[in-house]
Amino acid sequence: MTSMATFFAQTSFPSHSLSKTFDTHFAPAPKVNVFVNFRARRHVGVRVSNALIEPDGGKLVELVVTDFERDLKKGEALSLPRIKLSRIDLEWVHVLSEGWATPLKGFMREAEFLQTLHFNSLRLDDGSVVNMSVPIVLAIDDAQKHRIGDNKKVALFDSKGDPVAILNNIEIYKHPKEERIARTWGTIAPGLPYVEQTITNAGNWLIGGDLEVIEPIQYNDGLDHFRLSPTQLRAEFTRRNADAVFAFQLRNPVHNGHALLMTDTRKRLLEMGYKNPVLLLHPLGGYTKADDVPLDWRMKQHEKVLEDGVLDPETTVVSIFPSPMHYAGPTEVQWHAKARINAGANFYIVGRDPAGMSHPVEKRDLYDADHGKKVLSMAPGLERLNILPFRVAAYDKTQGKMAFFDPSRPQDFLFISGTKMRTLARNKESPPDGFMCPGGWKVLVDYYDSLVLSSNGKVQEAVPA
Amino acid sequence: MASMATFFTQTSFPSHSLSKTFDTHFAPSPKVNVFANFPARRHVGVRVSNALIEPDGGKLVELVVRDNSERDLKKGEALSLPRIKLSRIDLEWVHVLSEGWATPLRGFMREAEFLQTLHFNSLRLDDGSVVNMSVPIVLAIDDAQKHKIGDNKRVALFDSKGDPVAILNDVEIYKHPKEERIARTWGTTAPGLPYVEQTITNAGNWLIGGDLEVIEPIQYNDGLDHFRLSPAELRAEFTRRNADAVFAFQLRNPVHNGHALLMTDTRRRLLEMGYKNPVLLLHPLGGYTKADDVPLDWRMKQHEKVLEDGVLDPETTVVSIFPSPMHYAGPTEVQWHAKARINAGANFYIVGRDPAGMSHPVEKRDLYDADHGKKVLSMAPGLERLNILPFRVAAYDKTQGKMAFFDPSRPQDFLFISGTKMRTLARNKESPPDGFMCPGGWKVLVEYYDSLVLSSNGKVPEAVPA
Repeated sequence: MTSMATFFAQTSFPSHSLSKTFDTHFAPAPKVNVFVNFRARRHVGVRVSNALIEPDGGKLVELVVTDFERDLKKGEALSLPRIKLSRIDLEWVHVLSEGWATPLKGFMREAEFLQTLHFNSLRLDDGSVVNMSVPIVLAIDDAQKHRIGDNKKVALFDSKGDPVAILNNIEIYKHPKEERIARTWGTIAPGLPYVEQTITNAGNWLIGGDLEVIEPIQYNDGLDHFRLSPTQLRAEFTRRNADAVFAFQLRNPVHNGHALLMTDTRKRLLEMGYKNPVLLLHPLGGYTKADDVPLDWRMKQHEKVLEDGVLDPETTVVSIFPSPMHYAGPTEVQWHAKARINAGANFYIVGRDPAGMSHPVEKRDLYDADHGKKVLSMAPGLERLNILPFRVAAYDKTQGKMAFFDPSRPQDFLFISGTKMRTLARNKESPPDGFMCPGGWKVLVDYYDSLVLSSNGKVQEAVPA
Repeated sequence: MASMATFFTQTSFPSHSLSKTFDTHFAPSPKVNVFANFPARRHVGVRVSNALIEPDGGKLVELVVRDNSERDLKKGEALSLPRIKLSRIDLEWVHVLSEGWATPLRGFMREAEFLQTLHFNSLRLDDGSVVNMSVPIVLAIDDAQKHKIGDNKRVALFDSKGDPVAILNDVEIYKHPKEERIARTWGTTAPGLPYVEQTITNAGNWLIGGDLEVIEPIQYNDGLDHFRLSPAELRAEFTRRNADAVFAFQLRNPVHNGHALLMTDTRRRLLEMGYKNPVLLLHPLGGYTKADDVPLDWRMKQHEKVLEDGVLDPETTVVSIFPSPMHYAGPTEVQWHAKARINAGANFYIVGRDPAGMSHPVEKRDLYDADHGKKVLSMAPGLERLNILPFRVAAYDKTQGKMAFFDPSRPQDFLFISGTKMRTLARNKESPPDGFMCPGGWKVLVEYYDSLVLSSNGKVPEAVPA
């Protein structure tokens, strides 16, 4: 396992801020409890409101067993061959259990894996096609394969030794790692974060099957109330009478350029005739690479952005998208978009080099900056999603604020990249006024301070959020 | 350019054999000439017989200009445009495109087509329907060529002798992401992939796409052009023979009796399914192949013997050459091979173990899982109307003294003779077991390896892929 240098702080919010947060900015905590008992969760699928885009395949596939079945399944799990889940495997169980990958009913069998690798889509029994561009697979080694033998069911356990799920009607097949990497990332260069974390040392077999998840997955990191499932998000959009939902994904702090883009998108949707467009501000919550800002700090920063009124809390839902991050560019952005369809979003904002990264060994970006947008616009199974281009914002020195870049006067604009932003925060230098709301900037500075403090003492191994 | 050690010989057939060949085994030569003037070739597309499977997109897209006066006009036009010199493989792709094997592609891919091919192995048409397209058909240029083209919207493509071959219209120049192209097409970027080393590694950093107008039908003048039937010509031949099913079998190795058994058995099964007149398209690949494959002209001689010896029925077999180069890209490539045969009128495709595969260039294993080609083909977008027929494994049955379908209940009776083993036997002038291959066909193979020995004793000419 690659050692990660980033310090992960688990911070609870001050009670005053927390209270205010719940009252005015995020889905109220009490309703989360209500959702847990929402009738819809007792069914394998739920028919959604006609006002929202339908999930892939027509109905959400949720895989958590009913309360009534829980003890029975737990007992059953204890008698089956066991597979221990890594942190990222558990994230995928979470993703599958809540229906983000609908209509997938579990880890991929070989037919699904091959379709994903070669076509970025799956054909359903009725002949229709849904997008599925990243493999969601579970690897096992030779010893585990031998131990499973002819069993048709296995139990999945977490790192603490608790049963998490049962995998049914399993199929074990070869894990062609090199080919999986090449077809997903478009390279096999050493240094791809997700690959090194979870594929390089993985077993030589993959095991697929239908999943029954014993309990809703929780992380107990103080952020579970932000982890709304597709069903819960749909209910929230319906409660707010949304007639359009536009999704914006981040894995960086929100600066005023992002905010301008989101606000402008809402204005454009209103001009198109929608009465109540709602923004899904949806940071990625699974594994991210070491130099990304960890989830809890990002959530604190997002909270400040709403508190400071940069985004309107009445028309913004902030939630966490539980997927791990591959940094697989045009292949991955399809997964990000497809999952938001399942969550009820019918508009997706896509920027420059979405889900991209620097080439791990060459001095260039791994992907062409425009390919993500182009591939997304042509992707099978995503025809009903509206892809909104990300207009580029930069700091307008003449106005002292972030504004859309105007190529007729390039000398007036200052581009502040994510890297530059992080460097400024680390060095305690202030960005230009108007780049980010002050409260949000302070969170970022506090984060890098916490790294300094951490490095002076024992360096704890970071755990991805 | 990788140096190729294989000796390529251009051999004309003895006149007696040639005459017999034309009379009884292959599409008659006179009809090739007739085809050259066939009205269908005067149109951009041709509506095919209802009895045959429709081409992708509904009609064949042929890209050769129509008549002599237009030809002269285009030739003159080409001389005034910026020039791109085609490599041998580029020319093979012009040939493939011009005859409509890649229908509905109208030329080298623009970026939107390239990206769809890499990510989805398919193209969505304007009407929303989807056709398969799993390998990039692209033309690379370097920085200097890009600069020379400038803002021109048209370029002329020239062959290695300096003759104009085609005009590319409404061009789009875009970046050539080589590593990504290789990774997504082959599933690896390991050094040693033959097609990659031949045509991608040293290619330019840009790709140029556009609509193609081909000035004359492409010919190779290697004595085999009469075997290079286009999709339109093949369809006409299938119709002439009143075929109600066409099953395609692709090879890049000599035909042994196991292959023949499979093809004969497939025909029997189609008859049992109710077809009245199934016709076999025996369709060796004629473009670039790697150095240790048997060259095209020797393979064609061997196939001729197989028909002469009656191993396959010449009345129900059409032997023709498929002009595509070979990528050895396994599950990605076999889709291209199948799609092209739809365009040629075949509605059944026989797929074997590890189709279009090869050994991993650096690891001690096959590059692809032996079953993935078949599985991927059966799920491929745009190929739903093609019937995929599994390749039943044949081996030498020692108890019967012939090739037979492998029976797992008595494995000790069977001897597997791989392509590699076959080539080794031929090279060493050892005889295979009786009944493995027809004697005339085996003799051709032995003569081929003899010709290599003779060649290595003298000057070794650089091999030119057929």
